[in-house]
Amino acid sequence: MDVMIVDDSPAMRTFIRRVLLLSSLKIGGCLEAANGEEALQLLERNWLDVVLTDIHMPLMDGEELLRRMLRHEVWKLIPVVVLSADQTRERTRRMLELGAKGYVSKPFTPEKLRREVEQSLGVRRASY
Amino acid sequence: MHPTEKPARTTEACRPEDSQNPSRAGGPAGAVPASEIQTVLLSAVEVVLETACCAGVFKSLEEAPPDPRGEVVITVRVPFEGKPSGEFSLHVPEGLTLLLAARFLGRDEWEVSAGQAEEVALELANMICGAVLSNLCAGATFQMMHPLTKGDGGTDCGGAVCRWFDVGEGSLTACLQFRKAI
Repeated sequence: MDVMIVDDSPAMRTFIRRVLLLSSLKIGGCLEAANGEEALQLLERNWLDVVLTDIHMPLMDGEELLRRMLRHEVWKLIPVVVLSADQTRERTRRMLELGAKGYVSKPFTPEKLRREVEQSLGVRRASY
Repeated sequence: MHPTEKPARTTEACRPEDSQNPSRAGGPAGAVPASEIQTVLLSAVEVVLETACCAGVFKSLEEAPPDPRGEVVITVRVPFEGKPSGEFSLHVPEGLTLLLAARFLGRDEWEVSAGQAEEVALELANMICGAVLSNLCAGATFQMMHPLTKGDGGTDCGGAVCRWFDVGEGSLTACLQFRKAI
């Protein structure tokens, strides 16, 4: 599966990439973007199976990225899983209501990430 | 209460529903006892260090013991605004920051730059703050601001509830302070 990690912290992107490798998910390509704008540029040129995004980022945050993806004919089919340090019920509910297919609080174990990604892919398949 | 007995220390917090809780009577509406914050700080630091850095907490105290080494301490502050507002801070000596960063990034210590170590300290503070607030204020509406570092910030957190942690290779301190609504 091809994945994109969207987070403004290079250290956090490295951590997420490391956890993905340990998760036993079959990762093919793994792209990285520092904010929503960069993510959209990468989406223009690449097909991805899942997008893992932070919420608070400069230029374009995770919420706006999710909105833009859902408005797009093709990108709306790509499941988005939110990875955030903000674990409040309000934030989680808001992102899931907007259309995120999963919400994982940071930090997370490889097992937790795998479960959430697999579940998000299942949701996508069921909606075809 | 006996006239000489000190009242239990409480701090302004975030659960409006708790103002109805008789066990919290005596403080401002929604006040959380410092002991509860201590418990939540302990649990949040343990979970974040274990999950993100494979580091365990060997000992934890409400007050930091004197440290004769006088190592430079990296201080990270995470302000949060809304209901509640306040600030979380994490104080980590430089050497320990480097070690935790290496584990977080899955590298050797010599491969980690000072900038990367500081960046990991920011992320750790952000995650611990998120875990603490979601535990104390799960139903609240607030926004965590971008974390800020302050080199050699010491561990002075006047007025905040703090907890000290020994993680084997060094120690760190986590503090939380709620700001009263104006």
